[in-house]
Amino acid sequence: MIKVSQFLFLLLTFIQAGEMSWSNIRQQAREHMVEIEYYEKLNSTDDLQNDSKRKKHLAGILVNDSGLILTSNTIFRAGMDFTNSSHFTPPDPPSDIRVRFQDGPWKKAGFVGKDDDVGLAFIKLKNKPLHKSIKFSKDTLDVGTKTIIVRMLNGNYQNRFLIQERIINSVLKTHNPKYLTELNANSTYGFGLVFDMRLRPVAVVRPSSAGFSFDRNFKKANGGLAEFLPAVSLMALIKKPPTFAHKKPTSKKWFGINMQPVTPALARYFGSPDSSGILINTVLKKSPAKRAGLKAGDIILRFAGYKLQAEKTSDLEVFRNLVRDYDLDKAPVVYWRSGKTYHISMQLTDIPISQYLANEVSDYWLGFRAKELTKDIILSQKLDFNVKGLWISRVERAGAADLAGLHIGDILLKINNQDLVELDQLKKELTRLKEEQVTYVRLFVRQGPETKFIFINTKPETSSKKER
Amino acid sequence: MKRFILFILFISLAHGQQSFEKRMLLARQFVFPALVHIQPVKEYFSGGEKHKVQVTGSGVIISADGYVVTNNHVAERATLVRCILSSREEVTAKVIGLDAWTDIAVLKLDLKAAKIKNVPFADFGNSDSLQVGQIVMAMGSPLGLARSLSMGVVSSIDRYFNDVGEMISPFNLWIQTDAAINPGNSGGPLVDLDGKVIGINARAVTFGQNLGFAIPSNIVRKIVDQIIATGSVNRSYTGLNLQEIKEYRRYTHRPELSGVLISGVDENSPAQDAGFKPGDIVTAINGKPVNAIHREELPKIRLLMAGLPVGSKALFRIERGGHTQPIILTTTPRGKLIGNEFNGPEWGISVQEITPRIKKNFRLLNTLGVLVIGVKEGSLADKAGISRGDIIKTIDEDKVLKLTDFEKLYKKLIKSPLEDHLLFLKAGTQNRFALIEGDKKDD
Repeated sequence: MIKVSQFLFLLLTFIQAGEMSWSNIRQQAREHMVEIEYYEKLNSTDDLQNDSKRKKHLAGILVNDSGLILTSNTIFRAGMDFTNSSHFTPPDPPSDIRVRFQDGPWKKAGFVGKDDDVGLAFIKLKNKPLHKSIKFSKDTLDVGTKTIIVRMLNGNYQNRFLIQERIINSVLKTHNPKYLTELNANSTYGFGLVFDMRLRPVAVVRPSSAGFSFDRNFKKANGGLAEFLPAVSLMALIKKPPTFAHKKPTSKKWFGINMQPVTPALARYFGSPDSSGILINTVLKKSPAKRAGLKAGDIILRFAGYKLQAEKTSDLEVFRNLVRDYDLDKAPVVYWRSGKTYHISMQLTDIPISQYLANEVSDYWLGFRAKELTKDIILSQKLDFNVKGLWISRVERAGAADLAGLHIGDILLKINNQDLVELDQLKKELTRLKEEQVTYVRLFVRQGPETKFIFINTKPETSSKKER
Repeated sequence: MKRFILFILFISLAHGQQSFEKRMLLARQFVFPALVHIQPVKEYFSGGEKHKVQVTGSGVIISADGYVVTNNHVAERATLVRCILSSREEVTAKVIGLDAWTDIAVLKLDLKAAKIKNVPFADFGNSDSLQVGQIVMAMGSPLGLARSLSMGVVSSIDRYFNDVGEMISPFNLWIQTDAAINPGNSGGPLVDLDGKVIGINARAVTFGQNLGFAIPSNIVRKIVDQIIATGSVNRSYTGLNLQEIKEYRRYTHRPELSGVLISGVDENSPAQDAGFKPGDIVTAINGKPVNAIHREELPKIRLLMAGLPVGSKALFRIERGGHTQPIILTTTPRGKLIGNEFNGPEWGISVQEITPRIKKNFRLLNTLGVLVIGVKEGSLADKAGISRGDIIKTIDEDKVLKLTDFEKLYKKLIKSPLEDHLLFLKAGTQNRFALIEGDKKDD
């Protein structure tokens, strides 16, 4: 009888403990997790003045008491530096952001910045929150670590929390190890909080971005994987979050080369003692590597004391991340050329911005927008690095410029007789021409491999009336 | 009375129809016997591997001794050309010359081998006198159906097309017709009701209906004469890119302005050397006034410039900044449209010389190197990471400046298959090293 009652007592305690742990987790989630609603501008060819927007949702975590919220970098997908720029993502940061804790009122927030290398972004509440921020534990993770993941279901499921137990199934041994688990992101906002079995928050989780290989075949990883970002790797970012500003580089460092792995066969060919190192195949103009005198064919053996090894393309990420995250402006580099080893101290610079950080001028009179030329545009358009001009980033459908034959992607070289190097020149010239009420504006553009003149009729409706 | 008038009308219409039909049949009779069903066997290389394919096209005999006009895209790369005449006799033909810029080719029937003394031939008409609405007949082998005829009208006499990819026609406008033109009709004649060849059928818009295009006979005739005389067409290159002045007139409020606008000057070209600038208005060439208000007038001026003797000095009169001035330009030979190829089956690679057109479209700094146009899967080139579109710049320490350099190096290197060879490639905006690994059997 006593044994039975002891057994029942233990069972009840166990059940209660289980209930308490789930309830504890839910309570922590309610305290620190938010639903984020924001608007993403669309790349529209319609009216320049009234951009279309699309409402989207994400989950976030309150990480400090001043209202800083951590979320996924998918909140603003445009690449900030020229190496990861894309022309097909929304051009502007998210707008009309508001957040709410579960079942709470909506509160306004603003976009702070993001770090694409770790896949995270920050927003901040306009007013200090009443809720307390999360206190992460700095425990390490490893394959086999048991965790409890909390994510937010989407509006179809009343934004309830989805709580699951998961084991870390795999680790990618890259510069910053990536901890993976199998996890379906459907019906959730993707981003979430991770607890250990002692119910301490130890990481955040998001759909894995580790699956693309950078070789020619672009093999995409299968879906269904999520990645843990240990709290210990987030502390520095939370303390000093990246801040977005037009024209301000991301403070990631830049080397200025394209590279490929040194395979054993290549090492044999070059007479290199082993297959360590990374082979430079391109040195970009006006880059730190160019200034340091590096050339295609050089093999970089060490960077900041770190020995480099890359047998396949994905191994190059190690070096790439080493450079990007390097704190100092100067770095010791050891390279090999024609049988000799050289030691240099390289001056690194901030990585050039992408077109998304470039300033833009909108002209609603003629119906187009133009941006300063950034390195990603120069590379994608195969322009000379010394080319001067502006890039046409938007053309309003059936606007005066569109009717005259101006296209997105054209490089604007001149307006009337004015050579264009800076946006201010374009702005001033357009203002003057509008004041003078000119009938035609002449643009000289590069369209594809050729140049041409485009004559914009500023009053097309008047001309058509005359022709009748 | 009414009935009588109606009766007269009926008779007239019937008679008219019979007359029209007679005329058509007569016209057909002038050209049909000269129609040729062409079956070239083409050889092409992909990734160093030879492939053969038989295609079908059409042509028309233009002389009693067996010269045949067809399209360049029918006859290019042909190693064997079989022709079936209207009489159903089979005759082989030789390719005399090709002109990719106008898509015209000339063949010669081997009458001796076929034991034929002479063959019926058609005459060219004057394509400049064509009118929209005029009835025409397209003859040829649509979808391989030899000796077919379709009828329609001239829908346009001056259709202009911008160059798009491989579809280029800088020197001619097109006759547009709604006579059915299908694949297989290429190279066949477009014939008027006088039985004269007024065009060579070459293109059709497949997603539309009744939109066929022929090269005007006045252009064809000149090209054919040159090919028969010299085996090719020599043209001059200036490096000037032209634009019509319709909008420029409005922009400058000068409705009476004549000339053609320079929209671009190619780098390292005779025009650049001579000092031309975008924005110049050319008003005369060697004393002959030039004018292109609409874009349909551009091909004539391009033809005029291309027709300048190669290496000659030409006097251009231009307007710049409100002032007139002369510029002397020395022409150079116009490069090929389609470059020569070389194929390396041992490496599984096919390469092509870089023509000025490739240089422009790929936005290269120069024409140095060779363009990779095919890589065989699983081959040494494939394993080395070489792709179609790469430009080979060096092999080991040796520069590859032109196709013959690659050819020489390749033939030398395949004699030592155990050795590794490093290629330096330009791929888009990036460079890449690719190692052709030697056959290390011991490894």
